[in-house]
Amino acid sequence: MTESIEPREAIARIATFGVPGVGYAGPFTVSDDRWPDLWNGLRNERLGGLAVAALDAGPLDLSDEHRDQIVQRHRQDMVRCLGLEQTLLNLAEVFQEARIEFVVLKGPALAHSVYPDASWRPFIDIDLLVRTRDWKAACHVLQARGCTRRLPEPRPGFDVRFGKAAVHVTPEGHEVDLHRTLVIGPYGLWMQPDELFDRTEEFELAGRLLSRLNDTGLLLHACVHAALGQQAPFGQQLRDVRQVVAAGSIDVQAFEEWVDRWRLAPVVRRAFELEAAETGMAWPTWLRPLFESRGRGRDRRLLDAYATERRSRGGIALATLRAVPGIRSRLEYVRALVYPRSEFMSQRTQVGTYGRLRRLTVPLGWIKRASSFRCSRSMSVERELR
Amino acid sequence: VNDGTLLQRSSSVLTRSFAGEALVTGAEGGDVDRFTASAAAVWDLLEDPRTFGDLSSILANAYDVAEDVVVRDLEPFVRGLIERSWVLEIPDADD
Repeated sequence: MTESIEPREAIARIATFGVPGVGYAGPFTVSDDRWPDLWNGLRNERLGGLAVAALDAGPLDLSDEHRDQIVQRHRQDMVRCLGLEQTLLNLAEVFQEARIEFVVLKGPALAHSVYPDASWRPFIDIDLLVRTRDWKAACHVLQARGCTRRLPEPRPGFDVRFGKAAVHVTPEGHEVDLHRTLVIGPYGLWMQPDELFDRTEEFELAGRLLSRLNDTGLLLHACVHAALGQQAPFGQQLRDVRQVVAAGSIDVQAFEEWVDRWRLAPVVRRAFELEAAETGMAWPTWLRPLFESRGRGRDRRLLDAYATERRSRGGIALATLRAVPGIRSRLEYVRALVYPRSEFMSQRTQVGTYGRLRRLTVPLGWIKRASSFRCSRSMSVERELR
Repeated sequence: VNDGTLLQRSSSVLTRSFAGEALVTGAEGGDVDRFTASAAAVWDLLEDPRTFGDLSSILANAYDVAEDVVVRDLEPFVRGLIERSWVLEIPDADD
């Protein structure tokens, strides 16, 4: 008998569909009046591929109308993915001709390596990691292929010193996110992303072998993306973490070494905590040491810069400022934020002088807010002391 | 194409199968074709090498249709896939 459950519960079950070792008591559905919540939830959490797989296999039981709606949407997603894969194969040739080594990140790399079926894991863009030394050449290659960089570099040299990635748009309208590190801000600065190139594997796409992070690197990136990618992660990002752990072959020693050296313990812990909270599933024993320490206040404040409303109030930029080593580099970082090149400004704001003045007020506002935050914190500490 | 022709999907296509349908396109570009019902079943079956005879026999059983009817419909479809290089004729190891 089909069990009628709340959309939130249905989404949680769909999010764990097909994870090795996870069983189901029986088929489930949601009532017609709650269907819009399930539909919107699946779209927001990017779980359409898993929903279709759950429909095919049986646990998810919906009316023909709702089933068609999900499948139709998934078909559109898959057509886009196939187009993105054509672009990826084309770029692979272009990069090979230019002798630029690259690693495919996220979407296609996960879909074709750790998921049992690529249709379970839709994606919306192509992410490529290049070595910092190849960054400029890679940007030129993309431009020569007709790609347009969405937002210019704020100031010369910013990308390779402080940047994470730059979005390029191909003539076909596909987004290519060119990375030189895995995450924006302090954690991106503390990583040595070139080391990831020493631990890669290959996956096959249309008969061609492409480089991806090995399973240990996939797990690290999945954690970073889930914990720091946006204020709150999508269900798909959390599933990636679970999927790599379940299906990948993790080199625990290498993972711990990266986590320790790149100060990622709070990030990895947050990713695991979020996933466990969502699914209620237990984690493998080898991950437990990461949960033993609760982390220092400084770590928590840094995570807050990514994962609370501070993110939209310059939290990451201010945290980056503190993490950039050396006064001179910090000044250059501030200069890029406060006084970027006019090309950057015109793309960013689409307005003239007003934009530049307004730009100046933005980081000043962040600093003012950060000062008042620090001030109010010290006042509350004083009150506690009294 | 005859009963003994050994067929298999080319590895140089991009494809997705779900919900009883298959989406297929070439690696170099071009539009995405959508196969449904028996066409999707043929595409999924050709993931592994099969003779044309085996293929028609499986479909005849699955859809409860006379095999000669299946062959009549299947042959032009398979020929079209071969012409687009989405399906390859594999030389028999005994030849």
